[in-house]
Amino acid sequence: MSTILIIDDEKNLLRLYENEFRLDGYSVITANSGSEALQKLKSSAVNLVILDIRMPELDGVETLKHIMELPSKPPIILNSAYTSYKDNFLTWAAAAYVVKSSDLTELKAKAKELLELQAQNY
Amino acid sequence: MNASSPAKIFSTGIPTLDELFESLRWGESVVFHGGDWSEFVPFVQRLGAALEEGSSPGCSFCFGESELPRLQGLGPFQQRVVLTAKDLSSAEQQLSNLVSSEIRATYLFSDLGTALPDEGDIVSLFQYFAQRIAETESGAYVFLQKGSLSNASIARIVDASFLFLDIWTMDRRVLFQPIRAAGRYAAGLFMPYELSDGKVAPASELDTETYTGELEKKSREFLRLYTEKRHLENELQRKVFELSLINGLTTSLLSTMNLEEILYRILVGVTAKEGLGFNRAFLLLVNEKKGVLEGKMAIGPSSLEEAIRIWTELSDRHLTYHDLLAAFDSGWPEHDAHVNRLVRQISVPLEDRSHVLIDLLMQTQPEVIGPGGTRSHTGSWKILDLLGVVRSAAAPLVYRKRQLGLLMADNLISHKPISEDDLHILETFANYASAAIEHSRLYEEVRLRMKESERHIIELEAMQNRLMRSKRLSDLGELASKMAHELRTPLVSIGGFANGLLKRHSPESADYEELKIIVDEVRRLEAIIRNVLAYVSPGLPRTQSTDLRELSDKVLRLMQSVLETRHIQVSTQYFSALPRVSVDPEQIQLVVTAIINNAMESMPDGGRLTVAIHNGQGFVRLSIADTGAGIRKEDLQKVFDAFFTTKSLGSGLGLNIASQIIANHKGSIYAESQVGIGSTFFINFPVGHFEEEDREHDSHHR
Repeated sequence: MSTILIIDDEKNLLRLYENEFRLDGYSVITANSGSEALQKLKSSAVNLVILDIRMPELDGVETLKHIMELPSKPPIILNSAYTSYKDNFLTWAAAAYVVKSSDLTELKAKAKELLELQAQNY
Repeated sequence: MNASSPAKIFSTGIPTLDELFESLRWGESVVFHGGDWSEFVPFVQRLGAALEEGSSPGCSFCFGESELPRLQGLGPFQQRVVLTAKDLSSAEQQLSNLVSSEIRATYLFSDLGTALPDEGDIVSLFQYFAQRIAETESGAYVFLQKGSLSNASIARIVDASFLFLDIWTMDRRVLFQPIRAAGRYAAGLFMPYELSDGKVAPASELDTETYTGELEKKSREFLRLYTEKRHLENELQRKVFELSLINGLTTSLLSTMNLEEILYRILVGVTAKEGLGFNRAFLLLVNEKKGVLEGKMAIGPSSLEEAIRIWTELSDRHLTYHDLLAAFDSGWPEHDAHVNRLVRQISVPLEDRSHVLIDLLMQTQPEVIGPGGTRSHTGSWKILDLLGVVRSAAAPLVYRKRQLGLLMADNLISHKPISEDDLHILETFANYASAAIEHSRLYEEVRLRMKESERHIIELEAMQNRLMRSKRLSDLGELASKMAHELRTPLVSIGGFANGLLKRHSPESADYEELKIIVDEVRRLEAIIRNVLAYVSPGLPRTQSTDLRELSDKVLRLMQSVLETRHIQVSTQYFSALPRVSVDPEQIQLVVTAIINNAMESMPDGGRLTVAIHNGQGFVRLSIADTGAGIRKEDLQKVFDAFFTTKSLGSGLGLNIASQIIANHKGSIYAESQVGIGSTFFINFPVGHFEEEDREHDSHHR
């Protein structure tokens, strides 16, 4: 069972994503901040990261950099209310960029796609 | 008269002019009688012309009674009049004729005693004469030869007269010389004799011949003095006028900055009889742009008749400078046509230093050109010929060593020689003219600069307004963007949870519909936010291979209802074989929507909208044509400027954002329009390299 780490400073969003992805049969870990996420990545094996960009202290772009330095280097979906970060080349290291929407279809499709791709590579 | 008298008597006929001039000096009398009248008139005319030219000294004449009426108006002479009246009424008639001709004359009342036996008649004749003289500007010196006048009558005549008066009798018993001028006795000019019953000083040694000669001499002396006095009076009057003229000019300078008017006033001053008294005045100005000295303005009569008429109208009144201006203003310009035509023919290149006018322009002093001038000017005859005069005065207009022009004046009509004095006054006028021209020029310059400054200020203000508006809109945009982003996250929660709940409810359950509404409305809100964000900052295009026909149809479908309510007929013309283009469909949708919105606003009463897509050389062209009001040519370039339109924020930003989006797509957008017919917007989408670049870009996110 794939494990997804979801990082967002919005507790409600975390709850929604956790519910939705659990229902879809994934194992879900949540983190409230970038630093918490980095902690959890040390202790748990994670197949996919869904990462918010606008967060206090360590923001998504910074967190992304740290994650990419990890030996496991799980694929990352950037998930932001802003489209503008797409123009920031630092975000290009992410596997995908999905703008936040109440319609989770796109996010779920990307997650599925990336996890399948990962499974094939193993 | 004896041989010692300077009077020359021609008793045998008409002398030649040379003979006459030989014996004439200023104030001398010439007496001639006999000769033929038919010879005499041309002689007088020749003499008159010589006097006008100034080549003859002035002279007095002695005319007989019969010639007098015929000589009236023949020449501007001082006349010595012998009056031999037959009776009172003919005497009055003669006097009336004489006096009205406004002359300075010596009158000899000869043998009135025999003609008018009544002493009372003689006295009343004299009173009448004195009164007539007093009414005019004339001067008179009167010899009254006493016949049988009593001392009492003489006393009455003396009382009635303010004239220069000599009275004597032939019988040497009464010699009387009270001398009066302007109502006052002026004694001591010649020995006064009164041999009245031995009461006053005797003059028995003096024979009548000598006495008459002496009186004659005195009379001339008087006339000379009188003439001189009149001359001085005129001079004074002229100076006073000159001062008032200058005062008037100074006031003019303060009251108007209109160059034409100032120049005109100066020319009036130069030609006014009470001013400089030139017949005509010409003004030539340096035209720096053309590099020439050119005729600008002139005043003056074109003929003798015109001059006489105008001056007769003006000269009888005591006119101030302003009266003159008014008189000129009302009647002058039409007479000026001739001289203005003359002066405008003059245009001399400034480099032509050998030209007489340029030479004069470079001087510091006024000069006379023609005979009597201080220098001889080569080629001056051409100018003099053009102006139709023998000589002319010219004063350079110089202001702070800068040559502005030339003020010229002449005496076409009177032929009066131009004196040193005239030149001096002309120079004064020239100085005023220079200052006036320069002031007016500076004023004009200042006015232009101010106007320019005002324009700059207006431009600056407009720019500031635009900047402020742009700042305001950008602030607004930033706020909208911030709000939109902030709203997104809670909407994701609301919509997401509702969606989750919805999935767990069967369509038949009680809450299903309501949950569905929440989900749909949240989606709607999110769509609004997407559009707002796209407007505020379109961002880089997220391109994908797109069929523009599908995109166009989609927009038209979305706008169908609003187009219908506005009574706008829509037609499409799509090229059948069209390549797909790499565009951000959402952004291009916005562009097409903005242009259609714009088209709808230009057709408030309905119209036709045509969307066409064609294939071009390396591009696909989408065009949107309306049948609306159209855009003025000068505004056509501006329609894509941010905030150009005065319409609502949305459409104002619309075309600007549209052009920005198209630029981001490396395409081009432009418009063609005809006012009253409609506008067409064209968008060219490139086909080719853009697609490859696009794929590269996309690969980062897909």
